Amino acid sequence: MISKNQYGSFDALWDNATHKAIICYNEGKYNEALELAKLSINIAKKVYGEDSNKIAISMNNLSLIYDAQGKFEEAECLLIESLKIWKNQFDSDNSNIATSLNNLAGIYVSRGKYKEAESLYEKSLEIKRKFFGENHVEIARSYNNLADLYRLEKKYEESESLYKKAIKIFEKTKNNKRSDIGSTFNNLAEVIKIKGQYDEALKLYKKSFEIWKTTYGPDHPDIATAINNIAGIYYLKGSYVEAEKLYREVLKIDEKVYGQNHHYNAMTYNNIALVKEGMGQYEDAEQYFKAAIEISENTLGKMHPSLVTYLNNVAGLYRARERYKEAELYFIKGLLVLEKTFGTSSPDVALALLNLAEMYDSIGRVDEAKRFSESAKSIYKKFFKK
Amino acid sequence: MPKILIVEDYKDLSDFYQEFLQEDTLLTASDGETAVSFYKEYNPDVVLMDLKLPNKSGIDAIKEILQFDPKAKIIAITAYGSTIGSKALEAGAKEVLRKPIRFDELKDTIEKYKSC
Repeated sequence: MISKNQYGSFDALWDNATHKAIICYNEGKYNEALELAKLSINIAKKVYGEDSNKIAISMNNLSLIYDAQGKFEEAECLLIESLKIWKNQFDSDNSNIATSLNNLAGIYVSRGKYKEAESLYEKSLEIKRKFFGENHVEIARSYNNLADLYRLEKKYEESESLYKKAIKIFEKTKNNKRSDIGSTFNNLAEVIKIKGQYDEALKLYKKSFEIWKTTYGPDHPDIATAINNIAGIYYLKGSYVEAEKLYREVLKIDEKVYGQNHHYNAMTYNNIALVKEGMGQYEDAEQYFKAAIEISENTLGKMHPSLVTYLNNVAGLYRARERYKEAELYFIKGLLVLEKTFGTSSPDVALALLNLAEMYDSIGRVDEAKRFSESAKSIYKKFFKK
Repeated sequence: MPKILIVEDYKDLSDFYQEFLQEDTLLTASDGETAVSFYKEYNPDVVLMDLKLPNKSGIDAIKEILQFDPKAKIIAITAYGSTIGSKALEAGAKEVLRKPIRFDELKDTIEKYKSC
């Protein structure tokens, strides 16, 4: 029989495992977090029983870790299980239920089940409204999540309006995490950018950057993301000097955080190369594209799909410079990676074959153009018939 | 149903786009001049514009279309790197896709501009 004192020490044990799991999760140490969250479930199971509140909390925590690791099915099962427990214990207006519904919706978003996600987000919002009223951070978070979903569904007007509602609440509420409003500004900027309103998007990205800088300090990976977004707008506006300066800052932070040989750096080298190409500095552009390819090959392997962009970009540079042999070499390398990644009968492969055919045609290599074009046609005709 | 104007002088690529966009109402042009006159006549929702074209370049066609309709949504496509791509952005294209375009990228970009 378990005595009261023993319960006290089990409480401490469960608290300790749960708390540490959350800390590890927040620090991105998912494997450690996973072990601790599993331990917390085991303690809850043995001490408090299969239907206890604590086991539901532990399941929710474990589901967040699985979500971060991309194990969506496992996460979904746990959330459904924890929802069952809470629905048996409380009425439907419980805030734990609202959180669980919200988390489950997040999993559905990750799995592309947007309809299911939308209805759960709305249900969660309804419960939160009853519980917290309209002007609460929790409501703002829900608006942000729903707006993210609408953005994915390309419902940009609805998305923009909800991000703005979320920002209004965050601004009114003192008791909120600054990072929340920073993220919402960043997300709103994404929508505004899609609408082509680059100056407005730039303002919002800069707001988000200022907030994140005070929240995270200057060398946090999210700061690199914020700077990268600002640089992207400068690039789109043709302000290459500013864009290059900022991409170099991104590189500095990422090298500090991840080291020199990380695939994030490959992406930044690629972006610097695009800026250099835009400025007409072709030799520099070539070097940066090649550095991007080298880092990507070293870190992700020679057949990783992210290589395709870099290979095609350098091929495009060669083609524009009328260096067709080199262009051909890199286009074909890109084609091989696509074939390896998506299979020989994917529409991506068909498009790559057609683009090669077009290049051959433009330089008078008509027979090769015809051959590549025929191969492409036989692929996409089958694909579009499905 | 959204109307899409495809401007591409390489017939096999144009055929691919038509097959791929078969659920939309399509117009096709193989040179810059026809692209401009089709835009004025049919007012499509989205334009998919290759930049290297006979008769009138893609850049000039973009400028002329935007003079006629400043809200035109034009997606430029090029195989010639970001120098010409940045000229297209300066001219007012919403976005520039570099060939070979990824299938999903093409699909997502067209969807994006169809809905905003």
